[in-house]
Amino acid sequence: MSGGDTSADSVTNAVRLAIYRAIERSGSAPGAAEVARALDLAPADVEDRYRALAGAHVIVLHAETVEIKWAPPFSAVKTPFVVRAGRSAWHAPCAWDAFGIPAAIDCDAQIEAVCAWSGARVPCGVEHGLACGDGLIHLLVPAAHFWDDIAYT
Amino acid sequence: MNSWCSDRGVVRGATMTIPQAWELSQKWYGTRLELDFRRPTKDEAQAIFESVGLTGPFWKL
Repeated sequence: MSGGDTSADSVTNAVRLAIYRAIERSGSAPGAAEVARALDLAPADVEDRYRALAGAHVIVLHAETVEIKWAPPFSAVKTPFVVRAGRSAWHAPCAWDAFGIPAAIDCDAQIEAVCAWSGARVPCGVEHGLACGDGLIHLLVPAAHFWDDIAYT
Repeated sequence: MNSWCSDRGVVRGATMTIPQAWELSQKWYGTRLELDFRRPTKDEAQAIFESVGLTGPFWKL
């Protein structure tokens, strides 16, 4: 890898980190302009980084935009999977990712989920670093095809 | 679960327990907010699945 590529990767990585730090802090995904200001980059450059991160399956953008829909395990849009830790709360794209949030932040958390079959609440989460709660997580799409249509997955 | 799938005309997929989801999440997302994060390679991802007991054709990458 050339020095130029390493620098480009470094900037993309800084953009990724800025996105995740913002969503961790606020529950909301930052726009490219906000990240550009924070990192003193050109907005168009940051938009290209957003597209690169989406192409690498790190984040998911709303169709035909550079607005973040998901920065897995976080969701920037409301979902049935709510994760609470202390006074903070986030949405997760799916049940697996709901556990990804306390894993990413390294904290205990309460997860609010709903059984797709019965509609019953499925309280679960992480307490003292251990998983708690009952239930099974059902995945429909085989792993090799997770990203064929990640919204459906 | 079978009736849920048949009602929707979908083929039953695979399940994981909550402890498996937590262990998988720690390995999959544990470095996501760190500077040196990188997505696992295909082989690394397969090894992560296997390490938490997610094996078989459904989990084959």
